[in-house]
Amino acid sequence: MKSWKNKIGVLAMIVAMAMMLAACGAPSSEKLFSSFEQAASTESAAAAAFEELKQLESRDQKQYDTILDKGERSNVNVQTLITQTMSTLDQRQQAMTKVKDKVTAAYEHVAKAQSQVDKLEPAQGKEQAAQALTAYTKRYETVQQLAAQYEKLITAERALYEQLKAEQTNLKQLQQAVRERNQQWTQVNQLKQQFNQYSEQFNTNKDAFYKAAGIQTDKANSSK
Amino acid sequence: MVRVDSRRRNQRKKWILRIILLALLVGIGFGVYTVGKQLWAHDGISTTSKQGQHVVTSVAAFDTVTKEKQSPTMYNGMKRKVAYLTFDDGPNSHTPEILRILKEHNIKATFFMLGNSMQQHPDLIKQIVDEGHYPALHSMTHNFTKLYRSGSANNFIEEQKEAQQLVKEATGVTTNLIRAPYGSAPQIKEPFRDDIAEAGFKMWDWTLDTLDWNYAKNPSGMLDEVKRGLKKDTEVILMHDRKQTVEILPELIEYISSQGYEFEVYDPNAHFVVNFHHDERL
Repeated sequence: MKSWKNKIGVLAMIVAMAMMLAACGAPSSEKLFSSFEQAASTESAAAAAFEELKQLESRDQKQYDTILDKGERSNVNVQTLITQTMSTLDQRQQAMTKVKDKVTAAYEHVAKAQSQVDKLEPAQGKEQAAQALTAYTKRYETVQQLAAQYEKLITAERALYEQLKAEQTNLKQLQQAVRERNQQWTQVNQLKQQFNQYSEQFNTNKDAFYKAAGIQTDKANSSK
Repeated sequence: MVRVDSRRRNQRKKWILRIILLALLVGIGFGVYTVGKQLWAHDGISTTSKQGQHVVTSVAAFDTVTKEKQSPTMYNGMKRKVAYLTFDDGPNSHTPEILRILKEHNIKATFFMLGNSMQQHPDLIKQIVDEGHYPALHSMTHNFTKLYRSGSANNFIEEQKEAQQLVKEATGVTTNLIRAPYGSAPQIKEPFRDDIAEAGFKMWDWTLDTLDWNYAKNPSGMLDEVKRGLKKDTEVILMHDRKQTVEILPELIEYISSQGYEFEVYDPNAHFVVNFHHDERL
């Protein structure tokens, strides 16, 4: 019994030593490269959601214009179109949630990368790596806000379509619903632009870091 | 003798077992080391291409395909006629009277203010905003040569930004709505508009001009202009903070109301295009 305990102890030590060896084996720049690229690669699964969101938003815009155009005389003519358009609101929310989930999952790969940045020498692109990490962290934080704000936009969109659909609707109420929707949209748009800026900063700074660290790269891929 | 043989056999077995166990441990250790190295260094994904170069993935950005939705003026058999009263060149000594008349009629209006006038009357900018009117911009100087003859949009944009800052300092509101002095046509061409759009401004001209500058001694001429021009479902009516405007404003309001119009104030969340070039960006 005692000898089996010893054997398990020896085995555990070997495993631990091997892992420590492996961990110490790669330089910080390689580990950071791995973290950044694993994050970007994880996000590539969200490419379809980004595209879906674009398509759905574009279709919504066209259908809204058609509803106003064909509903000028009577909204009876556009009841089906309004119902159809409303049904895609959930899909838009789901697509945004998918994007948020993928970015959140991807962020796990870089969440603890600061210690690796700290170990870098300035000549190894420490500053660029730090900037890339900051941009990615802010981008992650922005997508959390964006997803929450998008939910408010969808609520406002739904209220607007409900108004357009109602038999007793009036133009003053419609105008109020449009204002509310546009207010939410403005905030969503600002957050999207902020997210895009951080995306660009991350891509640019990580490329600069790879260059400074002497990591040869092949820009064949994009997550979108 | 049998016992000695049995002990030897047992010892041999033990040695064999020890060697197998050691080999097993070394094998497991090496395996864990290799996997661990991959996990730490490359995280289990292939990031190296055949040429020894690392494959890099860029992260994605959003497409911003949507825009503000327009408020309908006709829908479900209903028609809404809306008039936007707009006042240029203030604030000045006539502005308090205009504000008083608007308050009396419970109407909110849009004021395109000049920076140089705002510097003299910061209290009026605040009053305009506090009473629910919209503060918009009309440059600092209104100087045609400076604004349009320099060869670029720089002076124009700089003046609007300066005026924007004055409104912000006085009220805390950041307004992006501008009106070009003398209107946007013909002097504001496409490259000029590119720069205005790039700077983030929205630009309103007007749909109905009261020509108040022409009726200093005959304010009722302004009413005639309105009677002649009031036709569209949505009218943006141009006036200035002047004596004749103060004199005729109550009658103008009464006439416009009598034609079935409701009054609205500019709302950035319900922006619509009102420029002579029909430039959708503005």
